[in-house]
Amino acid sequence: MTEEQMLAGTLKNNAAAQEALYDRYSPRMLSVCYRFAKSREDAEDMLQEGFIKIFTQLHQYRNEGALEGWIRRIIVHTCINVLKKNKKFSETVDLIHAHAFHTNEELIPSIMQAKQVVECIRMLPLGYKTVLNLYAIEGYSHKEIGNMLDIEESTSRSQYTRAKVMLEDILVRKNIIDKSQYKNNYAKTNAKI
Amino acid sequence: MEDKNYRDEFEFFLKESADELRMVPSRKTWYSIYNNLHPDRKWPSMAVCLLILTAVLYVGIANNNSISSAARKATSQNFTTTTIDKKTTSITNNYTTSTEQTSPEKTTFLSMANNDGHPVTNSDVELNNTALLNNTSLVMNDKTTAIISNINTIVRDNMILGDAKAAAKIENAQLLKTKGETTVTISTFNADDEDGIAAADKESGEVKTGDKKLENKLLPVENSAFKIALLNIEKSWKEDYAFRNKPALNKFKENASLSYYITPSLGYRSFKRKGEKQYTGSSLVIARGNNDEVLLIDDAALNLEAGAVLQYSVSKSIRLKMGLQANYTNYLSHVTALGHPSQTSLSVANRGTVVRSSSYSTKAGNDRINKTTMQVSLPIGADVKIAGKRNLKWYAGATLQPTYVLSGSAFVLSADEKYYISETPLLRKMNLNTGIETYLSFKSSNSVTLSVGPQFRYQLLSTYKNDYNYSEKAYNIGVKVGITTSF
Repeated sequence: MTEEQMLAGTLKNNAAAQEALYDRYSPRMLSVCYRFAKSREDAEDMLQEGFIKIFTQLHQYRNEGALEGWIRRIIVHTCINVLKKNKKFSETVDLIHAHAFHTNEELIPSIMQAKQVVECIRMLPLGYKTVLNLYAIEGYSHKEIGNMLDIEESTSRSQYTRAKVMLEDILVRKNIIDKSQYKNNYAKTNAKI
Repeated sequence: MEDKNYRDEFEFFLKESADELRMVPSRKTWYSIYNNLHPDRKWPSMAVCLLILTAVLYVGIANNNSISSAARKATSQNFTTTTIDKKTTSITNNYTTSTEQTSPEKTTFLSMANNDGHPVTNSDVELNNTALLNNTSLVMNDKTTAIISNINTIVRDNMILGDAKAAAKIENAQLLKTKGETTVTISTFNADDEDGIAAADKESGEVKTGDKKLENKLLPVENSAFKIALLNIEKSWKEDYAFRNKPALNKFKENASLSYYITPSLGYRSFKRKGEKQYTGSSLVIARGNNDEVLLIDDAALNLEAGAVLQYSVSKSIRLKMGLQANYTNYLSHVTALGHPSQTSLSVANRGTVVRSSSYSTKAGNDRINKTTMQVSLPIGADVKIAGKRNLKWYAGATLQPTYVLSGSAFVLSADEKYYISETPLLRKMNLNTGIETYLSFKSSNSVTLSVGPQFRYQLLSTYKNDYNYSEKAYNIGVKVGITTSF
């Protein structure tokens, strides 16, 4: 089923088309949710809520830009809304205490690098993790992040800086990156792993 | 969103790594989304529930109907029940009463009794403007019953009992006390009743109530010709009792019966790829590959059916039947459980190939998966008597069973046939089964018929929707045990 057929079918509330759309995009979107969520179950709840929004608001999609990008934005906003219901995003963790989060590093599965990196991101405190996800991976600006999370732009910047330092530290400890080289060439470092 | 080229290599590295990750969500998530988007699709299951409820109610009513329908019918010809709640008079449905407590000599045409054995008092009875009442039985609140039988006109004017300030004007009244219950029988009687109703023995002239004021006011009166007429009417009615109680002929009940049954059986399946002509799987080996290597191995498992059917005899040897049946179908596949889920693909006709994860390889190992369904069906069919007389008969029968699948666990083959994938949405919701059976029935002395015999049930449509590239038909062989009761 082509994307056009899926879109047309979904707009007509056709269950098969909806399922096809879900099958195509849910694996990527679940990994997005997983980076924001505390657990896989929470991530699936976010995914479910996000896809219900997608199906009910698909008529607003105007074929401007990729469908995946539109879907991803809805999913990210859903994740943020879910998190905002449960937790304040002004949470900060001093770098002095950052090592406390390293105690669980053994839990990181060594299945593949992508999974390892994501698991390292998920180890960050909630505020750090959210800002880092939004800025470094989803590509939002600090101003947008500030609006999304109801925090100051400067807070977003400082959170991100701290998150980045903490994450680099974790990745180096796990030998996922080589600190002496990462500023020059990560791909080269990855090849060693 | 900021359109940026990644500000440094670290961010690019994070972005690239994170985007590489794919996670397959559980099917439960899709079901939740589906149910949210299509709440109207729940109606079929609700309709089936309603159908089951209706059937259960019908069975319950049919079984409780035999208690005293004949007696009720006879009584209803002669009695109408009136419920009196304080100052209100209303007529309700038929109410069964008996006049057996009254001897022929002490014919009752109006009796008032308190069911707990206490005399009727002000608090029990208060009748205002109650014109009594041809062939009428009165029920007063919960405790007090007034019975009037077979009298044309009893009280023509207003009758007030138990009203302290009103006069009770009762003609032909006789007060009796029988078996601890206070009975007021009307013959010829006049009283100004201030405090209540009492009981009096006409023969002895003794008033049997603790209320002295009332005793003084209630005086027995001589028998009249009217009372004799009452006696005659009562007598003739009693003599005619058997005739009046003769149940009306009900053709439906004479020919109908209700059968309850249970059928434990062994379930199998036949299976083929779409496009192949022949179903395979009459043996354990359900499918073979191109080089004749064994692909799938199945095994039988215990199935169960239980239900109730209404049977109706259209002739001496043929009876039609229709009912409701619950089915549990089940069979086993020998598989190898994988240590961790593997990504695979499922080929579905209208969606092409979709990605799925699987925990079971089709390679036959020590592990087993159960493929089960819970169904309700409406068997419609007929039984034919082959032989037998009196209590022992031999029948053969067949049914067609429209079936609704309530739930199930479906494991379907991956596109490369190497994995089983749990994919319940591919289960066909509406199906059609057929059953053939033969059985011996033995009628016991208490009009209950036992029946036992083999049954074969076959599924006419594939277990899965047409989207799936394979066709599977389940069948089972079992022993049906049932009991049949007449109405």
